[in-house]
This record gives sequence, structure tokens and C-alpha cells, in this order.
Amino acid sequence: MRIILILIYFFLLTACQGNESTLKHSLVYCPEGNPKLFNPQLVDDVATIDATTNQLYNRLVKRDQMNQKILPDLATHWIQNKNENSITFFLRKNIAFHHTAYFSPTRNFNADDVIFSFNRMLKTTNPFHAICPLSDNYFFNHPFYNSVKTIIKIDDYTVKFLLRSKVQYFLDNLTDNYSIILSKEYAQQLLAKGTPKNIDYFPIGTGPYKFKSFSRNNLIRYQANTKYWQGKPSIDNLIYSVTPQSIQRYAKLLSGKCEVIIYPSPTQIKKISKDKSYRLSMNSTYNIILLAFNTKRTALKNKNVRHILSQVIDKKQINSTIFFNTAEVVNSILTPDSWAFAPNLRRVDDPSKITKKDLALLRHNVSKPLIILAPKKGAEFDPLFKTIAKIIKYNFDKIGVQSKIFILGHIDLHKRLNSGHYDLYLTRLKGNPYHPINMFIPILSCDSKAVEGNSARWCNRKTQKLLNNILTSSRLKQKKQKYHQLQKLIQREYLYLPIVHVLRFDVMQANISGISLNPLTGINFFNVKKQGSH
Amino acid sequence: MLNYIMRRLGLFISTAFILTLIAYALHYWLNQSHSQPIINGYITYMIQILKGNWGISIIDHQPILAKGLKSLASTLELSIFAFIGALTLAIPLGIIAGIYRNGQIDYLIMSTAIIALALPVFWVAIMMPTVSNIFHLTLPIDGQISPIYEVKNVTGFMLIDSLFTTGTYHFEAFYSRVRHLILPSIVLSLFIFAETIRLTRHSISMVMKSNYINAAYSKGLSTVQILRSHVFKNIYPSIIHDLRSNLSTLFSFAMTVDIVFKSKGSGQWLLTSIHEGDYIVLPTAILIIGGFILLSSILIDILLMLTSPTKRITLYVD
Repeated sequence: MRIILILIYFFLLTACQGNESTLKHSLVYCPEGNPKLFNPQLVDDVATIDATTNQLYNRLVKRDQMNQKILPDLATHWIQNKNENSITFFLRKNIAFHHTAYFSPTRNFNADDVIFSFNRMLKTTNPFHAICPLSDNYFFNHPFYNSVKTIIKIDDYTVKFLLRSKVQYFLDNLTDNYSIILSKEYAQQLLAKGTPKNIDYFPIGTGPYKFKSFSRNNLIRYQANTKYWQGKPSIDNLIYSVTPQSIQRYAKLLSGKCEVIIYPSPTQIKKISKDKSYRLSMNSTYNIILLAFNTKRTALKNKNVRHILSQVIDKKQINSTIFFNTAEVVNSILTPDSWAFAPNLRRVDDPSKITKKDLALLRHNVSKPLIILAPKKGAEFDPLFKTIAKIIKYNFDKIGVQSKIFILGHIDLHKRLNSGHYDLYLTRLKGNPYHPINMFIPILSCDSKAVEGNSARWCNRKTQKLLNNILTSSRLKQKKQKYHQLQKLIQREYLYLPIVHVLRFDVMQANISGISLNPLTGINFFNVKKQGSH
Repeated sequence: MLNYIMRRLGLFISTAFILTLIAYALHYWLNQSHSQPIINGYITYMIQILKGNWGISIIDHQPILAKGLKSLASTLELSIFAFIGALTLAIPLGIIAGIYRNGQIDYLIMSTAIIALALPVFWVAIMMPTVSNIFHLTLPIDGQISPIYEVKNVTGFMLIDSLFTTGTYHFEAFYSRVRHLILPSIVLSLFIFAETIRLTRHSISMVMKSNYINAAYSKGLSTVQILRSHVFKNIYPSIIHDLRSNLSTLFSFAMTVDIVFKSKGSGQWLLTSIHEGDYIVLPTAILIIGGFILLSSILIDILLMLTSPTKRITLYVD
């Protein structure tokens, strides 16, 4: 009896060996989370962008990753007028929208689709403007509100944008993840059927892959778009297998169930980089973890106190114990790859320089335990805030400064930030490499509230002037100088202490090539190639 | 006969009533707004349940009943797979242990069984991937099936559903499912294995002591002949009866194994629902899982009554 059973098991085992990779034209990618929906106009979390922008959609223009030049995508070329207040796009012809089980297009892409896609973001009267509860989002309308006046259809393949802002600023925004083109025909069909909400959950685009199915916490299935205008991708089935735990993603990579994974656990990165059967790719995310000092609190009003506290925090220790040296210790809130980055900022942390006089000053000012706030969940950098806060507390303990950590959920955190009842706030800042002003204004401007970014509660006439100068100045050199001044100001005044720049890691099996990654628009599977089976 | 079935039915209905009361209590407690008095609320709740409106998940807007049944089917599939595997191994071992009671071989088998029973399921489940790796078995350690295969949900039992895909994948999807079942079912079968050995050994040694076996020996029959014609028929009702009482334990173990191996069974379903705050799933889960255990134990009772003469005595007790 036992022998029969063993034989059966043995037969099954041998029969199945290697069968998993026989379907050569499938690729399994294991991301960390579910996309919130399938439209990157509305949300900008990593999971959503990775699942949508480059896979399902096209934009009018895109950015060359190597030289940062702007390249045509759905627009073949464009001209701008002399005053730089309008730009005309000439659109590509014969571009088909996805043909799926739920939509069969009757016409090709044209100017109406462009106007619809932008008006959805710009016009509150558009029936799709507020259809999604997630659309109440900074990115959903702000970049274009400030820059687009109106959009004019000149003919079916020519669209003119009348602008409020500079052309370059507008073009930069067009390369971002939220500038995708939707199908107007599909939208109208949905409206007629009475199911307009489906536009974000059953997506139709022009991209290299089309949507097939999605089951939460489990799988997303995409199919190659055989009519894609740049040629059919070499993979027929693109599968996203959602795997939240990093160690499990790694196990799945080793067992061959995932061919590409995002964020292997930091403990494994060293090991993977040595293993020749896998390829590790490292990318900037423009995400900085920083500590804000609430300048309005009595304990921290004195700049020197903030200075001493900054000196004590051991960034290297944070990088090594939490990120296993896979992050980048930074001194500026801009990442080194940004054009406005100030290279000559000095390192602040050096506890050995603290004198007895400093300690006396601390004792004099800090009478109550300092309150350290941190969010409960930091999206993709999940449980880290708590541990970072603990290290900071430990560093403070060493010089005899008492502190208390408050890890708060979304609602409580906002209440706290609004009330101003905190000393330090540990948070994440998503950078903007092309237009750093979009990140400086929220954290430094008097008009900006703590919840919106100004958690240092900084308000200073000089700073305000500097910010306005950047907005109005047109010369790059001047702008650069002003940005350097701003970064120095943050360091001189000890408003925000940048700790680390978090990098994005993806691991793929060595036989997979052609995956490209862009910090703003996410992963791109269009050119992916799979050689043989492993 | 009819009388007996009616009595069982009565028991079923009264237990099911209590079950719905518990589910409703949870439902009432989870719902913030109470527009109706409790009793009216219960009646409307029951009408909705009977109509098949078991609610919609707040997370993915899918009907809860369909999802619950699908995950139940997955857990059932695992349990049946483990059950068959364990029984084919455990019954022969139990018989051997029973015949050679208090012999060396009996001690060996029984100590193995007791060790298997003593190991906590969740721990074995976690250790299993490592153990399989030591033996160089590259078996999948999580999920139901390789994500490459697209299997449509027809019966909910993926082993059967995967056979419908032979047109596109041949038997690859089926093999993939079997491979995914092996490790979790080994873990789950440890408990059934140990329990069955213990029960078989006990009943065998009970039966072997009885007079009709002695009579059979004195007739000159060999041990094998006696086993075949006298012992088996007399031991299986008691084994099945005792296994029935372990049904709920087995099911809860299966749910634990579900969670560790991340297969989309009842355990994983309940856990993720609770994690994501979809508490409305709880009363439904109680009804589905509780209802299943209730129904199956009553069916086993009726089956036993139909097949075994000793159990038929209960027919005449009124």
C-alpha cells in the first residue's frame, strides 16, 4: 500500500518537474501591494503606477531615461509659439485602443481622446471629474490647473493647449505618470450604460498590454496588445502576483514562482547581488525620510537646541540597522540626481562634537519629554518609521534627553499635526526632481499647513521671498542658486533633518532582460525578453 | 427509519437555528445603525439569508457568499486530499499495531503516531518548506496553483476545475495544482494519520478480544481470513464515528494550514477579511463553516446507520 502511494507521489513529482516554465510567453512579476485602481491620473502610489502607466497607457510625450530629453509618444511632434503661452501637438494616426471583452473600439485615437483625458482632470463639469472617491488628490488636478488655460481641437489630429505657465514646465508635467490618454468613446459608452465608475477599474488605453482580470490580494492578468503601434510585446501574458511580505517574495523568486520581484527584504540584498542567476536593479525613488523640528514649540524655539539634537541622530546607524546599508544617507532634501541639488552641504551628525555647554543648554530648554510623531503606515516603507523613531529615541537617551514616541494612524496624525502638539515629526517626503519648487513650497511656505507639509511650522519673510523669486525667475542659473540657498537655509536653521534617501530594488532572474524602470512612471515591461527556461 | 431521519433532521434544524442566532448577534453587533427591533431584524436577516443575499464585501464589492463557498471548497479539497493520503497509510499501520498489541512494532508505530499528534500544526507547516528542501524536493510552498495557469471557477474545487483547461494547458494546470497540494496536505495529514492509527489500533484490539474471533480461530481460520471476514466490518463504524467527532478540529487545522501556505482557503479568507476590516464577513463565515460541519456530521450519522448493523440499534430507541 505504502509503496503504491510513494510511487504515485513519485510519478506526480517527476511528471511535473519543470512544467511551470513551459509557458514561455508568460511573465510573473511580484509586486508588494494591490493597485488602488487602474488609472494613474488619480493616485500615485508605487503599486498603482507600476501596474498602469507604462503597461496600459501612452502619454503624448515621454522622457528619455538616459539624457532626460523629451521624446514623442502619442504626439509625433509639437510646436510652441514665440510667447511660450501655447503649444500645438500633432497626433499619431492609426493608433487603436484596446479591444477587450468589455469594449470594442469603433474608431482610432484622435484629438477628442486627448481633450477628454485632460478635461477629466481640469473641468469640474466633466461627468468623470469626481466619479472616483480617490480623485480628491493633489496630483489629480494641481499640475495642470496652474498651467493649462484651455485646450482647443484644431482638427482630428491636432490639439492646441493654451498655457498659463512656461512651456517647459507643462512638458515636464506631460511626461509624468498622470498625463495618460484615456478613450473618450469608452467613457461615453460607460456613461450610457450607467456604469461610469468602471473607467478606472476596467481600463482601456493604447499601451502594450491590455487588461484581462484582477482579483484583489492575488493576481492581475494582462494580455499583450497585438495591435500595439510599436509592435507586439514578446510576452503574451503579463501576470502580477501580489505578495505583501518581502521574505515571501524572495522565497517565490528562489522557487521560480516569481520571475521579477520588487523590494527583496534588505537583509537579502547583499546575497542576491552576489548570485549570478539573478539580476538586481537599484533605482532612485526621490523619497527622503526626514525629521521635522516643530519650531513653534518652546523646547525647540532655540536654533542651537535643534542643532544639538540633529548632531546626535546617527543616520549611519539608521541606514545600517534598518536598511542594511541599502539606502543612501543624505544631507539635503533633494536627491543627488536632481539638477537643483546643493553638493556642498555639510554633514550634521557628529555626537562627539557636543560639549558640556551644549548639554547644559539642552537641560535648560528641554524640560519635558520630547514628543516624536510618526505615521503608522508609510505606504511602501511600511514598518520602518517605528524602528527609526526608536533609534532616534535611543540617541536622545544617550545625551539625557527624554522623549516619547507616538505612532499614529491617518486621522489621529492629522489631528495632532493640526493642533501643533508635537516636537518632532518623522515622515517621508516624495521629491520632484524636475520642479523642486513643488516640494519646497509645501514645507517652507507660510500658507502651507503642517498637514500639507510644513510640519516645521516655519514662516519667515525672507524664505517666502526666496520662494517667490524662484517662481518668477526664468534663468536656470539663478534658479539653481536660489535652490542652493533654500537647501542651505534648511540646514542652517535646522528645520528638517533629512535622514536617508530610500532606493528602490527589483530583482529578476538572469534570463529576463529589457525591463526599464523610471522613478516617476514606474516599471516598464514593453521590451521585456525571456530567454529559454532557467 | 423515517422516524430516525426525522429525529436527525430535528436536531439539525435546532442546531442550525442556534447557529443563525449567533451569526445574527454578530451581524447586529457589527451594524452601527439599528432601525428595527431585534426580533424583526432577525426575521429580515433570515429572509435575506434564505434569498441568498448574504451581503457584499466592502473591500472588493464581491458577493460574500460566492467568495466564502469558493474558499470553503479550497479548504475541503485540501482536507480530502490529506484525508485520503493519511487513511491509506494509517489504517494498515493501525491494524498492525492492534494485532501485535504491546509488541515492539506496536510501540514503534504508536510512538510515531503520538509524536505526530504532539507536533503543533502551525509549527510543522512553517518547518515543512525547509524539510522538503533538505530532501531536495522543489515543491511550491504557497498559493493554490502557479499564477501562469488561468483556471476558471466552475465547481470551486481547483483539482476538478483545472481538468477543464486541458485544451489549453494539457494536464499541466492539474499537475501544478497537485504539486501545490502536496506540502500542505502532508502537514494536515499528520493529525489525521496519528488519530486514525490510535483509533484503529484501539478498535482492533477491542474486536480481537471478543468471543466470535476466538470462535473463528477455533474453526481453524488464519489471521488474514479472520481480518478480512470478521474484523474489518466491525471496526470501521467505530473509526468513522470517532473521526466524525474530529471533523471540526480537522477543519480548523486545515484553516491554519491555509494561512501558512497562503492558499486561498477559508482560513486565508477570514484572516485577510479581518485584517482589512471587512468584518461583515464574520457572520457569513460562521454560517458557512458551522453549517458545513453540522451538515456533514449528520450525513455521516445517517450513512453509518444505513451501513452498520450495530449502529442501527439507535433506530429502535424512541
